[in-house]
Order: sequence, then C-alpha cells, then structure tokens
Amino acid sequence: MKPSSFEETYTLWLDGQLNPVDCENFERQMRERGLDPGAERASANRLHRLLSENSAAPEMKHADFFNRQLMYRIEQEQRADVKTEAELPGFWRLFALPKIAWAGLACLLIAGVTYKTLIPTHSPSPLEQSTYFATVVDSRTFDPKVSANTVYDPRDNITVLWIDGLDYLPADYALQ
Amino acid sequence: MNKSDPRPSNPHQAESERGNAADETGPLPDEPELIARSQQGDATAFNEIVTRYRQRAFAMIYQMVRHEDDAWDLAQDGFLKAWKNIRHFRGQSQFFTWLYRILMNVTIDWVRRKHVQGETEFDDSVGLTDIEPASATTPRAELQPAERLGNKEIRARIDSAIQRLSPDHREVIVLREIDGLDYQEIADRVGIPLGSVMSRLFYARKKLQTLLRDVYETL
Repeated sequence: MKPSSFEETYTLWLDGQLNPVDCENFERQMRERGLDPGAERASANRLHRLLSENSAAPEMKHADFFNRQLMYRIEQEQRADVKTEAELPGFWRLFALPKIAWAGLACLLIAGVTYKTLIPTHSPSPLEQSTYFATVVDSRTFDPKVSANTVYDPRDNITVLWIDGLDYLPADYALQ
Repeated sequence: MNKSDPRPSNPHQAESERGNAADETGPLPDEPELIARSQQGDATAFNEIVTRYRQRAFAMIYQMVRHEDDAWDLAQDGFLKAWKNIRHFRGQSQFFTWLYRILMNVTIDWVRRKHVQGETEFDDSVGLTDIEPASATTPRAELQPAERLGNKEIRARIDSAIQRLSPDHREVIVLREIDGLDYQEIADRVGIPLGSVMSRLFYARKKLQTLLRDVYETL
C-alpha cells in the first residue's frame, strides 16, 4: 500500500512497515522538517511499552452471575415477545406493528388533518363573497331562443333584467 | 505492505489470552452448531457462546471505558443485543468479528452519550488542529525519584488519557497498542479503510504522547 499523507507514512515508518528505501527517504524528510527520527521512535516505543505493560484488563468479576443475569434478561425478552403474540390474536396483531410504522401512520394522520383544516380547498362563488350579487332567477333551459340581458339605469341607479323567449317565469323568479 | 509487527508483543495481552483460553479463544468446532441452535431460539446454546466470549468481550470493553462496572454492564447489553440479532448472522465473517461490532457499537454509543451528558471531554477534536503532523516529541529532563509515579497512579493517568480520546481514536489505539492487531485486522474489525486506520493511529499516538510524556519519561 502506498501511503498518501504524512500521517500515514509516519505510522508505517513507526511500525517498521516501510521498505528500506522509503524508510531512508522518510527519515530524510523528517530531518528536513527539524525532526529527530531517533527521538520520535524512542518516544513512541516508550508510549507503546507504557500502554502495553499497564493496560491489562482485569478478570471479569462474578462471571457466572454474568451468565445468569443475561439468561434472566433473555427469558424476560422471550416472555414479553410470547405475551405480545398471545395477547393480540387476529386483527389486533396489527397493533403489534413496530414503533416506526406507528410513527408513520401518526404523521400521515397529522398531515391529513393539517391539510383539511389549514389549507382552503373550497373557493366561494362571487355570490357568496359579495353583498352586491343576488340570485334573481334560478332557471336552466336548452332553448336557443331564450336570452337574458341586463340594462343599468344610472339615473335611477337600478339594473333591469330582461328575459326573452321564456313561456313562463319560474316560481322562484324574484328575490325574497 | 509487510504485516509483520517488529515491535515486541504485549506480554499482558498474551497472558490475558492464555488466561482466557480455557473458555474463550477462537472458534471451537461446535461453534457453528451453537450458533445455529441460538438462531432457532435455544438460549442454552447462546449461554455457551457467552461463556466462551465473555472475558474477551469484557476486556475489550474495559479497554474502551476503563471502568470495571461499566464494562460489565455494557457487556451485558452487548450480548443481549447479539441475542436479539443472532438470526441476522449469516456466517459471512467470523462470529467474533460480528459480535465485536455489536459490542463496540453499544460501547461507542454509551461513550458518546456520556460525552453529550458532559461527563467526559474528548480532546482529539482539538488535537487534530493542535498537533502538527510533524510535531517533535521532545524528551524531557530526567525526574527525581520523588517525582516517580506508583503503579496505581500510572494506571489512573493512562485511564484518564485514554478517556480523553474520542471513541474512534480510542478504538484503534486499543486494537493496535494493547491488543496488538495489524492494520488490516483493525480495518476489518472497525470497518474503515486502511488509510483511516493509520491516520487515526497517528493522531491518537500524538495525543497520548502529549498527555503521558511525563509518565513514560519517569519509567
């Protein structure tokens, strides 16, 4: 492996994993940087010796109890799993879904409620919006002869609705 | 790369491995069967696996947390997690490598949580910028005998120094300097590229040299 940085080369050099040529080149490079390869190696070796001679892990205390305790916890886990399955037959097993599935459902529900309550989807008609609009005649016909016109008289400030072609006026023709 | 390590092997590690040999060394012939039975929910089989690996797991976690009771509890949590996930073990790696990742994830999560709660302070975020890659490790003048440290104090200083490394640096330095693994083994265990192993080792060593220089220079 070709080291790509000073740190990597240094580590390989320290652990004696550079070939002689690379080792010599790197030590020259170190001296150019004002480092003493001998002192660097000595310091690292002393650290290694200090760590290895003083870092032995102690024996695990109460090793048998360790197993008993673990087996007890495993038994509790198994019992809880069996209980969940036994207590929730059929449809209700649905509720044994993992927490993440419940979280997803809750998010969907909240998003739906938010959409319905906060985002307006019904656009009101001009009739609903303005006090100046009113239904005068509510009638539909397919007869092409029927036509409706309005005439505004500014002098009297009135609008006249003129309907041609109807045989009769619908019962709800007038405003209440 | 030459994987042979020219440095002297760790006598304590060797001793520890010998001590553990009675119940937990490498995979034994019946291990696949025990794993298969555990995967089918046989807790007795898993109990045997635990007996085989508990000391090794405990020692490994202890090196990370430097506290016996915490290491004991974390080993419990790690083995419980392994039990819950043993069905997912497909035999693509050695069982211990798989177990190691679970134990180490539990440990690293705990160390990070402890750090977030403000109980410890990692220095290597500072160290990365403070330590010049080419910084010299200047020897200090010889100390007087009165200044020499006792074994207990030395261990306390080492514990404190290792606790000041981030979990990532702590893991590689323990695997290299204490467990004596080579770079490739560390990369496989930790799941990082070789270059990252070497880089993390460099910074972890420099940091420890800074923190422990006065200790090892008195020895």
